[in-house]
Amino acid sequence: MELRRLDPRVIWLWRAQAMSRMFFFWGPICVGLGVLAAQGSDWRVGVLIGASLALMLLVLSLLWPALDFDRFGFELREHDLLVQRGVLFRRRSSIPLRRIQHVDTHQGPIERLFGLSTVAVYTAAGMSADGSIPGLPTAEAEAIRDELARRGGDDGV
Amino acid sequence: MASNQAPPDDADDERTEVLRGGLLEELEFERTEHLREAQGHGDTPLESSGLFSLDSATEERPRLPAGPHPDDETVMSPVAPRARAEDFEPTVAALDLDEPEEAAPLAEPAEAPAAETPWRGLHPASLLVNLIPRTLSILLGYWPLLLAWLFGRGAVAPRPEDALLLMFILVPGVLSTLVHLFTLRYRVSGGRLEIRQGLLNRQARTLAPDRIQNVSLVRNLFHRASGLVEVRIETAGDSSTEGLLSALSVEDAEALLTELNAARGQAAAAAATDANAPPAPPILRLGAPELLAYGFTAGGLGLAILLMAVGSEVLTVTRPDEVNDLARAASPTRLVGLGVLAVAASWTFSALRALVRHHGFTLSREATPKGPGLRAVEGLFTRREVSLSLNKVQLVSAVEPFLRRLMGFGTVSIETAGFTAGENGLPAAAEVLIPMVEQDRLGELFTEAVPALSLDPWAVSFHPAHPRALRRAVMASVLFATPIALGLGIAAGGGLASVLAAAGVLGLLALLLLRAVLHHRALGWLVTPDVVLLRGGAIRRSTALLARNKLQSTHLSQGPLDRLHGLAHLTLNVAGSSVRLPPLALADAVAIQEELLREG
Repeated sequence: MELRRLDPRVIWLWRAQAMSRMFFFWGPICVGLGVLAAQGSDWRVGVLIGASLALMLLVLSLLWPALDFDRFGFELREHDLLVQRGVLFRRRSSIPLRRIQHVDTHQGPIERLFGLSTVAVYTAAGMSADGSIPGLPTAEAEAIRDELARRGGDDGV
Repeated sequence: MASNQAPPDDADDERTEVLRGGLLEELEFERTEHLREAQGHGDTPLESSGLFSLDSATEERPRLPAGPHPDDETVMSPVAPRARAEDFEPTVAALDLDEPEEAAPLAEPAEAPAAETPWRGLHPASLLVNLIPRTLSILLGYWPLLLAWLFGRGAVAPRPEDALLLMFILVPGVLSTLVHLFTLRYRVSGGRLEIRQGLLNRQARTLAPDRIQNVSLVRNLFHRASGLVEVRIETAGDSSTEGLLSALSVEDAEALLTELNAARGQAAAAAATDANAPPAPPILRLGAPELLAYGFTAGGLGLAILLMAVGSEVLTVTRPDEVNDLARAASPTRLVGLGVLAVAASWTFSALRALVRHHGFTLSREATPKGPGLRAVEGLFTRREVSLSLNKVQLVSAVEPFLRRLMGFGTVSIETAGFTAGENGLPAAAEVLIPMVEQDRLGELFTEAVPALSLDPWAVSFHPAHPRALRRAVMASVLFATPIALGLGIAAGGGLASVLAAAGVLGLLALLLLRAVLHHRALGWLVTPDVVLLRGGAIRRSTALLARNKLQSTHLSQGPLDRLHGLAHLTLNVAGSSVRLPPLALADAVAIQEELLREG
């Protein structure tokens, strides 16, 4: 069965998010490892190690979002919301509509730049969202949220 | 609403300053009075909608219309959000059923004054009931420090610093008990239970009765001496009210339960709590022999090691010479003897603990406001009564650890979605733990908890895990052991030593394989139109049961290795916990996921 896809712009959104993680988290780690490797040996060794690590991560963070996008599918079916995703670790979640406690949409600063929103679905099972669909055009996200809110929900516990 | 602009006078400003430093409550009270006087009991903007609402719980309360207010209130409002005069009256006054008169000006025409239910507080004897256990638990919490203090300084007479240390440890506990007694207020209003507490750090909680998972009455020694009772109410997705309604008189507790039942709109069910109703014959009653057996089979190696460690620590500090002698005289036989002693001590300890904790365990049927339910009573010193209604049951599980299974027993726990503080203070979902159940009654108890279960899980055969799962486990074991065998063989440098090392690793591999086979054969699953049953554990057998109409969401997951073997895992979530099916072929797993969607 062909599932609904995300907006392709999400690939660039994820790349941007990966870049910001790269800048604030992985970048400093690469620099630190490079400095560590340079201790007691040639400084060029340090630069080489740091740079190659950074390059590897950079390539990965450019490639991975495309793979992730390829694997992501969701469908609002008769009785449930089906969300399928994962490149290495695949996951197929089914959230029965009647079990939905609440639905929300949210939009981070980078998402806002792209005009995309995330729909998060909560059931009584957990504190965190049981299913979430990132990277939908805001209007579509809101439509899905309203649809889920309309069709879902009983006491459920 | 028209509000007088009360001119902020100097006194007010001063108070605001102090207020930020602390002691909110008295000052706020005074301040309120002061304002009222200044305005001749006119409309007082004590609560303005935006500034005084902090959390959702407060919003449940009927709101007072907003109004402009003096500047100094803007300054203080973030600190004293919910302060209202009547919250802070002494307990005795708060127990009066009449609304305090001066609260009248607060009520706006929009809300009927009669709708305002009076707040009730704790019984004054709560001080006695809470102080000693709390002090004890604080002392227990500091036990490493106290041990160090007692043994570390040798036999010197008490010094003033010691008193200071003790004060330092104890005073916060005493203070918090006092604050608890004097600030806790609760009521049932508008069909909801509201509880407020706190001095500097205020919290207000509102519970909707239909979200209540179960109610338990707990009495420790002091409760029983003073005729009080603690009421604990657990809801889904919220933490329990444990420790909040810590000491109510029996009449107050009964009144509260009746009100809650009435709020659920089922007055008839209030009879459930009626003591006059003839008690149903218990389903299960446990005596001392069973409980002792439970304790013996619960005593773990970990506890034995802990006991040994504490013992040796104390010895080292008190009698260093003897420890030296002991270490010198240590022989294998003595060490084994010591180990046996420690294990025996741990068994005794856990047997005693089981006796105290589960003394007189009785499980019986009970009618609750939401249909049939179960009720468990247990405890020697602290008496616990838990009642839960069957349609809140999320998961029933039975474990049969090796020894207990040899004796022909198992342990059943029934979970609802509420949170209780488990050991270590972490949330644990088990509400009723039935320590010792004869093997041939396990199925019967499952049916008691989930009536939709129409078969005996101990009499049917389960579907096995997929055979490829065994292949996967075998491959994993081989992949794990081979490099170690090779590495050790090479490191030993050839010759007999490396052959021995490799043989050792191969022996380990054999054990791993045996374990994999046993584990695989123990796995089982069964999906009926009403329930899902799961089985696992070769040595410590466990069985789980959940009703399909309690399923929340299902997740199918597949890691890279699973994909290699075409396997998938299905995780089923219910409120409060989740269970995982054994590895299945991907297509089967998807089919089950779809099938589970259909029912419930």
